Amino acid sequence: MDIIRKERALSIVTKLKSYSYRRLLLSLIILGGFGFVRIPIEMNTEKMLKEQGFRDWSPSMSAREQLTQASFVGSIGGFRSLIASIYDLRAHQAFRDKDWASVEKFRGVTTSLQPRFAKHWDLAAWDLAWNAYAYYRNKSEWAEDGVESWQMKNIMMPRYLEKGLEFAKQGAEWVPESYRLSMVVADIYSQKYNDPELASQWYLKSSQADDAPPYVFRAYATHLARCEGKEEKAYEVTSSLYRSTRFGTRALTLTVRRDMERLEDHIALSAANKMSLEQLESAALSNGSTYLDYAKLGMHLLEVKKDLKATLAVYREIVNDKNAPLFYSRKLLMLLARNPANQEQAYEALKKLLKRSPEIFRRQDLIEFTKLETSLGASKNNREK
Amino acid sequence: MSADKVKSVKDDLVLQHKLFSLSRVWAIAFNTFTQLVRMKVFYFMLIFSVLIIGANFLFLNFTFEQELKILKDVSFGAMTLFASIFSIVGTALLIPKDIEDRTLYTILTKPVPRFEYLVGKLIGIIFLVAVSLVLMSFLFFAVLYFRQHGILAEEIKMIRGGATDAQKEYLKETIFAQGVRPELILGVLAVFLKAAVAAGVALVVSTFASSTLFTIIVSLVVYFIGHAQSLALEYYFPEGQIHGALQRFIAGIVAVVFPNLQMFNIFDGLITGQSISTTLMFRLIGLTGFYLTIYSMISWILFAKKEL
Repeated sequence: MDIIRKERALSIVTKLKSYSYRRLLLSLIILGGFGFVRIPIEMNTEKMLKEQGFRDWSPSMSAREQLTQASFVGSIGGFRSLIASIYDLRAHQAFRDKDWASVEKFRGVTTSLQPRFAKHWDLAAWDLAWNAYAYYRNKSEWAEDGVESWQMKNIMMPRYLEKGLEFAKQGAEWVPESYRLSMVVADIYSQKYNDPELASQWYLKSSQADDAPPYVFRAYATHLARCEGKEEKAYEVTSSLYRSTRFGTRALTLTVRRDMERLEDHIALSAANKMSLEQLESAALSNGSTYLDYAKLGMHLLEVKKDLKATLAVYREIVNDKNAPLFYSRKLLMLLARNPANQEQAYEALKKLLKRSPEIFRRQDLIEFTKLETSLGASKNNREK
Repeated sequence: MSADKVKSVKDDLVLQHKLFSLSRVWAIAFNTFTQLVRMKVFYFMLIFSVLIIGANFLFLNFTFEQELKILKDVSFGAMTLFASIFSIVGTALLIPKDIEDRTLYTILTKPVPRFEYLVGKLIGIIFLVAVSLVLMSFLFFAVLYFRQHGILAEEIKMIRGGATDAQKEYLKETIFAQGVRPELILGVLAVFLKAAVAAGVALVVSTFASSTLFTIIVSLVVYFIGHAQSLALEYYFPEGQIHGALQRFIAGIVAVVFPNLQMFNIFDGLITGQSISTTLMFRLIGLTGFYLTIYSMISWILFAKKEL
């Protein structure tokens, strides 16, 4: 046995000796030299990767705290996207369980792991600003305890709304090339904070992205139209949109029509109150005047001078202008119907117009129309027709 | 036979024997590939198929972006895992198995330089990884293609009153942007390059390792450090803050010795719709070639005079 052991020990020693240390040293020198050559190239490559947006996550202490150990190791080891998807699933499960604190935590992880994926931010904002907010609103309405209800309304709801907004804003910073997150910020300002001014600013930003669908710019125009003191700018935007869609290939939306009418009424009324009849007349009769100048004059005659006959004459001029929107025909007929002698004729014309272009009739117009119908004693069958 | 004749035959043989022969390397590489295929490694395709088909059908309640992303994540994750395992375990198994089967002695007693043997083995492994990645990609792209069309049809169906041509076009553009894109092939290529470097590392380790298990463990540790090194350096020594000599020394050693595998992790970005420049891709290919050349050289230096 001793002989065998000795032989074995000898063989190991022989092997070690034969293994030239010079070769080991040479290998280390090559490895080191290679390291020094490749490091600048790799640093440059890393820089390029960073510039092209491939280095959007770094394992900081906060990331380590957010992730489990396995997830952290997986994220470093090249499975970051997969780990983000797993946390996305966990967030979805937490959403189903109405565990909003976990939803917030998991959405935070997904967005920090893949900040350049717009959908992660979108879902985070949606879960908190809409779902969590609605959950606490419903709960507060049904809560029997007044203090609890107050807490939900004044602490939980605003908190989740702010969190959702924060996610959307951070996302918009990370993915500025996408329209989506700026639109989400705008939606929150519009639907939750009821702030059309901030909403219009974000809709404008969103509409400037290359991938923005046309409705985002329309949303900008609509929200701008709701901003007090910005009617001139809103009219500029809305009228350009109105003309590009009315005379273009796309269909004109109801909102643009309504905004256009509201803004033209506002501008006309404002001019009617500020300017004298002479000024308005000279503006309307001057070369290069538009139907809007006539509308201002018409508004002055109607609201200030209370001269229906003259107003009708002005509105006839407007209706003859090809550029004037169709709702002026409805306005003219409605004005005509104010005179009992013309009611029958106006009613028939309005009926035809309603059949041809129902979109130019607003709710109050339909109420007026029904009243007119009732006063004329039109039969129910006739009305239905 | 006269002495002159013997000398001339000897000279002829010496002249005919090239120092480096691609055909010999190819013969070894092909045999390595065959040897690995006979180990029934392609059974992994069954697991891969179950994974991606499962990922395709399990998450139907999500938005299409999430659904397609999960499918891509699972597929790329599985590709990375399988390719890395193949390259490390396959390389770690080969030399000890050749010694155990005595194949190595048969090869080396012939006029085959050890360098050719090592390069042939490495190419064989890389070839196996490439074939398995091609198979996985084929399945992945097919499933992704059918899924994106399925989602498009579902989305169009959901629009009340029927979708207009503009709506259909918009949906198609949006859905397909998350579906099959040529950039995803570059992601697969990056997975392959990383696996190739990992195989190179395992080859170096296997030339001085005493067991297969040792090779696998050491290679996995290097693989992990290779992923973490650039991030660790960035974390511990933020830009411009490496002041102390010790800090510089540690940072230098880590960066010099271990390969930077994090560099190849580009599919995270490609999955979410980012694009990579051709220059950057060529850089990664060039660096991989550089790594493999150096690792082959080191392996040869360590293996050349090794007592077998």
